[in-house]
Formats: sequence, structure tokens, C-alpha cells
Amino acid sequence: MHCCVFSNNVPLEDEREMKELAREKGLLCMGPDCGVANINGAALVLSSINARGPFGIVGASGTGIQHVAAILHEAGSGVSQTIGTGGNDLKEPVGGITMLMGIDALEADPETKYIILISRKPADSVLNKLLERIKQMRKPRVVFFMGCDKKTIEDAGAVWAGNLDDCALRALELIGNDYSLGSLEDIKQIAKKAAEGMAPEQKYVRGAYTGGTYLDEGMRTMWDATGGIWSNAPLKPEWKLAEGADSKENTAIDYGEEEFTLGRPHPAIDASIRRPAILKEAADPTVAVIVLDFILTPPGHMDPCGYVVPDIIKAQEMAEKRGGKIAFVASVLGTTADWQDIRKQEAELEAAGVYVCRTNYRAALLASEIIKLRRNAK
Amino acid sequence: MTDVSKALSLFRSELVIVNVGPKSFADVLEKQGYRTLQVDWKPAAGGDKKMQEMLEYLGGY
Repeated sequence: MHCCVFSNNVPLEDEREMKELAREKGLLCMGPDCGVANINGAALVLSSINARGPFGIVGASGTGIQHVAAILHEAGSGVSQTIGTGGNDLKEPVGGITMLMGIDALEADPETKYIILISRKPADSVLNKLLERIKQMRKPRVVFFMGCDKKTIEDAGAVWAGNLDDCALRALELIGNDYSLGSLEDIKQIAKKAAEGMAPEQKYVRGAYTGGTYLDEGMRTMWDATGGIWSNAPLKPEWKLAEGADSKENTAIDYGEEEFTLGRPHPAIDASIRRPAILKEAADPTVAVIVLDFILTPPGHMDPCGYVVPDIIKAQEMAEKRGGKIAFVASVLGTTADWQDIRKQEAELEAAGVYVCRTNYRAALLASEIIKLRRNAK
Repeated sequence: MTDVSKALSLFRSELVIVNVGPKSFADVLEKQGYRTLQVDWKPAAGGDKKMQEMLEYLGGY
């Protein structure tokens, strides 16, 4: 039987053993630590419900797969199959077994016309093995390996993508779809409006994320504008917040980390894990922007955005009493086919005065632009 | 290249999902229109190793 293993913290040597056994039997072993897979249209684990289409995806990041598939859906296309490998598949001890099998399967699948590969940068030995396989692929392919340079990917005959948004857009170009997520100029205009009316001490951003992929993307995007971001899962070790410490200056927290989720479900399922962050961060008078991500999935909260709206309104009232205002910036990952309906979720946030961006990357860009304006404010 | 005949067969088959974990994951797949089988997945004796050894000794686990 093919398997999709959601459990994490499985030792890498056990993962390798599981995957070697699966390969020997010709079976797909998606995971451990596989949060997203769409097989034959079924949204497994924490996937969104997606339209079917010509794109097959193999990815080591569940959020990454879900993100790209959601943009394809929004643009009127869809996915044939999405195969999650688990976050450790491309590490040295595991050797990319599932990604390599996934590529082979999608190459042979007649319904898959284009292939998309998504991961953080693989271990060097695994990357070399993958590049060799990518070179031999016959189908058009887009590769987003975070931090991998363009030439390396293009030399393997693939289309290089610089981030998750870009990955979806490059894929859509392959089918002649010039879908756009909007311009930087649009974001700058919104930022001007959002930064007006704040108190002089409001200079900082706080991010409350439900998982690591979006936290990483958010911090990388906001790094230069902020001058560095404290976190429980920082980009640089010297920016690590002490365990249990309150946020300070610019801070972004991953509420999917073990300190919040030990013995509890993932924040995409249990929205109460992240909820306290809103009023906690809003109580700090130096905060100008609060960034939130929302993820829609069948086992998740049926109204994750509506659930936090009362706190957002209360936070804004707190800021107003201090003579300022907080810019709430958010993105919702999901589709119109999800039971929570992305349009309904976005509308609930917008009605509460939240600046809703098309993607997490664009939300981080907007937060960056607001912080730039606030840092220069007298 | 690995043998992908079973993966291709999966892609062409009607799915039956065997859920070894919280039933909510099976429920949402049923609601999407897929067939599921729920397995009693919780470790015996709530995961207590000593108790599991005793149960094994007694032939009940």
C-alpha cells in the first residue's frame, strides 16, 4: 500500500529504511512529515481542495506545494497529482528517495504534462543526484529549490523560480497563461495609506505565522527593510529569541514549532494556538504592523479568519486609544473549492480593516514598505 | 529509474484510504467523496511500555 505519513520527528535512518523498503516494493512513501498531498483529487492531510489540471508537483514543503497549487487553481488551471516527500527527504541521510520516485511517476503519468519541483536547497550530494535526473526529464519542468542559483537549475534544462509565487507564475507561463499577482507599485500605494495616522513610536513589525515555510519567506522578505528579525526559528542564530521570551523590536514567531504544538494539533487545524498572539503583540505601543497567515484545509477550522476578527478589532481599538493605529497585513492560502472558501475568508478580514494580500510573499513586501515609511517617519 | 507501475496504477484507481490516525482526517476525506477505512490506531495501554510488555506476556497484545 502507498503511504502518506503525517507524523514528524521520525529519525532520519528510520525514514531512509522506510523509503528504501517502499522503493523496493515500487510504492510511494510520502513523508514522514508530509503535510500535503493531492492524489487523484483527494486532498490528503492538510492539503487544500484543488482543481485538476496538467501540473504534477513533487515537493518537500507542504505549504510550498499547497501555495503553488492554489495559484494554479486561482489562475484557472490545476494539478494532476501532488506528491509530498516530507521535509527531510532531500537531506543527506535520506537521499531524495521519494522526490526521485515522484519524478519518475509523474514523468510516466499521461495526465501530467508539466512537472514542478519544490524544496529548500537540497544537501549537495542529493542536489547533484537530482540535477542529473532533472536533466534527463522529458517533460517541461519548473524548479524552486530555495537558495539554488539560476544557472544551476537552467543548466539542468529546467525553468528556475526564485520564490513560491514565481514558481507558480513560471509554471503558468508554460501553458501561455500570463496570470499576475499584482505589482510592487500597487503595494507601495497601499503602504502609504496603511502607514498614515500611526503614533511616532510605532516602528516595528510582528509576524505570527502558522508554519516554517511562510515564516522563512516572510523573514527573508522583510529582513533588509527591518534590519533584522528576532524569532523562535530565526534566519541567523544570533537573532534567536530566548525560549518563552516576549517579542521585541521586529519579531516573527512560528506557532507551528514544538514549543506551541507538543501534544496538540498543527495551528492550521487548531486556530486557538496562534490566536493569543494578536492581542499580545498589539499591546506593545511600538508595533506598527502585524502580519498573519491563514491556511485553509478540510480538517482545519471552518472559519479561521472570522475566528480572529474580534481580536483584530479589539487590537485596533487598543491602538486608537494610544493615539495610533496598527496595520494588520494578511494572506490566505487556499482555494475557492475549499469549504472555508478563500473569498469569504478574505472578505471577513477586509471588513475588519485588514490589508489582505494575494500571497504571503506579497504580505511581507507590504509590511516591509510600511516599516520603511515608519523608520523614516519623524 | 524506479519501477513506477504501482504508482501509475494508483493514479488510475478509485482511491480507498486507510486512515491510521485521528478519525477527523478520514471524515473529511469521506466528505470529499472518497472511501475510507478507519484503523484503531491508538497504542495499546496508552503507549505505556511496561504495561504493553505485561499485555504481551499475557498474550493479549
